Amino acid sequence: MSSRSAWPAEAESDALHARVRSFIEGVSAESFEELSAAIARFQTEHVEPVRRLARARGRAGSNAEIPAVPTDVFRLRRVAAHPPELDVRVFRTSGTTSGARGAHPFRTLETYRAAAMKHALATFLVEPEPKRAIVLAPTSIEVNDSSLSFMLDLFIEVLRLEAQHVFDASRGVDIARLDRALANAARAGEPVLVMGTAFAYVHALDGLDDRQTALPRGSRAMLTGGFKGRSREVPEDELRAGLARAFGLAERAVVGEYGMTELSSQLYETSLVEQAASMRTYRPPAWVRVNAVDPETLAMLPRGTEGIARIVDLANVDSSIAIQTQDRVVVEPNGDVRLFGRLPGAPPRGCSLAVEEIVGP
Amino acid sequence: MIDERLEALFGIARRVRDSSDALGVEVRAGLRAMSSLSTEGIELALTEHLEVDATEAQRASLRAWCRAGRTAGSPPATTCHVVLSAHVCTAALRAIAIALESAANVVVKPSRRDPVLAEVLVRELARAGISICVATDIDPARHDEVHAYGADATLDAIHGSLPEGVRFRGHGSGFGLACVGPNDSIDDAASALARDVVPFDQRGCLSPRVVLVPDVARATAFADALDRSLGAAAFSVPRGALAPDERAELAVFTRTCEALGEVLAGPEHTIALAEDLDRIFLPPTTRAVLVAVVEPSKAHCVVGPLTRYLTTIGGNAEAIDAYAAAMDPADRLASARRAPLGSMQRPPLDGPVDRRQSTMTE
Repeated sequence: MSSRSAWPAEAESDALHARVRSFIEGVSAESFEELSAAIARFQTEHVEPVRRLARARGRAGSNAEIPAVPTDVFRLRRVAAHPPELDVRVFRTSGTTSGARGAHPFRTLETYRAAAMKHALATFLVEPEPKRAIVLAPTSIEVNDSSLSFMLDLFIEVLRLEAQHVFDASRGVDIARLDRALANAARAGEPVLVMGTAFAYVHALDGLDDRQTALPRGSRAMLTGGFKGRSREVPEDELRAGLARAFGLAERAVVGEYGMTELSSQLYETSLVEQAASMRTYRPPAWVRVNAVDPETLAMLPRGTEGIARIVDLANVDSSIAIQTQDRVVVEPNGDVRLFGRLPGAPPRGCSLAVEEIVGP
Repeated sequence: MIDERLEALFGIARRVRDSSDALGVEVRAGLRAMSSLSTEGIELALTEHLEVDATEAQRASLRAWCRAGRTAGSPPATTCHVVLSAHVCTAALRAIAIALESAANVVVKPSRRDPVLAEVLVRELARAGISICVATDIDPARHDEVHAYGADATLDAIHGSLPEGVRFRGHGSGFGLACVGPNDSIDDAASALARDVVPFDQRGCLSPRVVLVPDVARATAFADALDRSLGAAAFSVPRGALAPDERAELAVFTRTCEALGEVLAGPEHTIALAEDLDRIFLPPTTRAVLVAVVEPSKAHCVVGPLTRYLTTIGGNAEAIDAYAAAMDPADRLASARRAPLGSMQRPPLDGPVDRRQSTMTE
């Protein structure tokens, strides 16, 4: 008997994945609540940390009552319904002082792909369709456990972009290659997709040393992630302005993406598709709901109140549908999310090692 | 001369310890205004954890520690500059003792958030004719020493700002780890560990935050017993008020531990019980303790890179040896203090509480 058929919940998981993909494609008759409740029941039965949380919290039912697994748990315990031998990919967070990296195992990437493409096509990969990509991140072949690299490669594959990677996993941004890629893109005259993390962009702007390239009309840049000690920290407004200047883009064409290893879906700024959209306001897809919770009690807060983000992502079928982050947010009445960075840890009040010193940014 | 200065310091400390002495009254009033400890927590700190004497052997060790690390032939420091952090409220005494043994003149920069004891000690020592003063900033000259206490990033910043030829000793943050062995009495061990957790509301770098127990049954029994001991301690020495950011850390820690194992939450303490951890993780300093089921042979993997932050290991010799044997001695474990449970917060005055930074850099 093969190991695949040895997992008794596989059929149930497959069915849930199919229902979620139908929901993502907009062809499902189910409501968000019905589907989230079904996934929560499945996870309470099959995902140990979720089962423990549900037992400790003593309830499960509505979306608001699904126990949210803190992101730290992904560093400390396997969060998956299926056994490790069924993993097709494990995405990992960046390292911490404690040496533990968060791990998000996947049994199938089909739902992840559907979620990533659907929302990107609605918000970021909109007309005019880009033809080329300049990527300031390693490929998923170089860094197999990076969810970001996987997603960027997915965009390149699905849109059949002519891509130039200008990031070396060991040396960082290759400025000479970036210069050439920008020049080639400018000559080609087709819309370009520039994609990278904040720290890679800082290195790029430092290396470009005020050189500017007017990328063709319809070009755009995706900005994601933080600095995590890998570059000097630059205020976000300054970074956005610098990118717009360096690539000859309108600032509204610099689009923020919010994602994390522990999720299967992403949120985007909508500045490319809505003239009235506020910068730094991120839109979740229909299969994701964000709520602000009180950081001291983790109780749900009304919309418009600042708290830390509790995210329900239907695409997290085999891990935890509800994730408790420490990112400070305000959720607007329409469900859009304003981000204010990570909740700072308590500063040390004695010589005891601060949790923040261990966990890192 | 040196011993006279140390004697003067101890004499002042004895007056501070005495709640009926004018100095004792002054320090208690200052700490009530500045410290986040409860009144009972302040009293515990001053009466049980303020060093008021040292044996001759401890003084000899202290002197040796102060001399160690100086380049051969380099002169003793003329002045020792002490930069204090918002440390546990009694820590200024040991820092000043070390400075007095290191140089003829001492300059102390107290923490803005907790200057109470440092300012009183310096004032009284100066009145006794000792060359010591308080400063809002330091300006060390070549061959002076700087002893700095605080978070690692703060120490790096201070070290980087010093002129050439200034000797630097940095004492960073850390944590305490306790071990419960197969032959320990569970109730006695829990009661003793509570005596280590309660002082300074766990904010000292010697405070135990993680306990390793080799099997589930004993770990469960120990967590229950510790729950009772810390519950009782909340009546005799209530925890001070928590700041909003501490309450937020505690909320996420509690939720995380509920997903990993069991949580016993008392009115003023939190105990998490977890097994099969790949890595230990640190609870917030809110009288929160992680009781981790870890076989001694797996200690190296489970404690991992946190070993270098270990300032003290508590337990009986047999239990400590069993775990320490599996940890990496090269990763500074050898310099961690060892203490019986119940004495982790009472290190002898034989050098800094944190002995990891034993080298001096110029």
